[in-house]
Amino acid sequence: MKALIVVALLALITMLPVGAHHSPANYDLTVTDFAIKGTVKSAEFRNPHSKIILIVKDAKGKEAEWDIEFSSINLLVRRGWKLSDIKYGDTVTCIGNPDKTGAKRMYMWSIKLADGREFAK
Amino acid sequence: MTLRFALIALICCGYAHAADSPSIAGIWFPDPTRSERLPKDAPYTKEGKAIVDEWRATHHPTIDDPGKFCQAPGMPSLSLGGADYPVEIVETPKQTLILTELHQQVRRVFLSQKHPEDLLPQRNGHSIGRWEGDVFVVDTVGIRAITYGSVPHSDQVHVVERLRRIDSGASLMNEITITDPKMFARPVVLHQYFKAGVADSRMMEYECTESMWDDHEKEREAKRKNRTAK
Repeated sequence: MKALIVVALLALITMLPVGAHHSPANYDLTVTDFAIKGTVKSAEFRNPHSKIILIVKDAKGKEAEWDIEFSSINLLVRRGWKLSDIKYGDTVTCIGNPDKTGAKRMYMWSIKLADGREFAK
Repeated sequence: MTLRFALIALICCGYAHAADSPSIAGIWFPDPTRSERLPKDAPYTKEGKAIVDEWRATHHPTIDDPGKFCQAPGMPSLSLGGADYPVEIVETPKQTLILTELHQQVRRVFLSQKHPEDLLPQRNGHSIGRWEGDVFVVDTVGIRAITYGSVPHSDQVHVVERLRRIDSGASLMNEITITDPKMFARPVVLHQYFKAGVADSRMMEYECTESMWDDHEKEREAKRKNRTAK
């Protein structure tokens, strides 16, 4: 019975990221220069908010997925972001507000591309 | 010759129109540096405060954010904008259209009309407009009660907007008076400012619910793959 509960709990925990996809986290708006570098796994420019899944390697080379939330496609286009230059496999640095709980997600305000260009607010 | 024709066209259609009759037509971009929000210590009635407190106590400020679920603000929150999205004002003989890029909202302001007596309460209500000198006055009633957004309100809310060009026509100011005896102890007055768009300014579409469908499709595909793997 205990084993069943453990399995059920584990299943619940592994299901959480699916829910989190819809649910924006609490970002720490007092920190605006939080930066994370990684490889773009997917990029969706859309309304109401855009999203990048970033593959980030830690010091030991272990990979983890980060959830990068940012402005709507309309506002990005008006700010001059060239969205076709942010694509699968690119190495980018995302800068913005970290998650309050330390979860692997952030709200991005600017992005640095591998060629040195930066798109910002 | 072409220049002369262009000058005549400009005088006839543009300058003369602006001089003879006021107009607020055009694309306008919100100016957050001057615009006002509903203050945290808004003059809520006891009943109004209880409604707002109930919402806050039962909803997470970011997880349960209606905007993330593509909920349009509705009036009067819609008039406060709250983001950098432009508004286009189109003037026709019978109605003035206020087109908001955010959530692709269309407000129809009927001219030379009264509010119908049998109004069906709607999210943006029923708006009628008239000119008072260079001020376009918009009167809105018949708004459904919405207890979230930038202006929580009851179905008794009455909104009067006074729009006029300022800064020699380079800006637009909207003075919004919100009267809601159930929610506020006294009328609330908020000013919104906009900067005129430039010649090549354009409105964009704002498709929102598509993203929710895309997520649904992804989850469906993941479930299908999971079943196939078993």
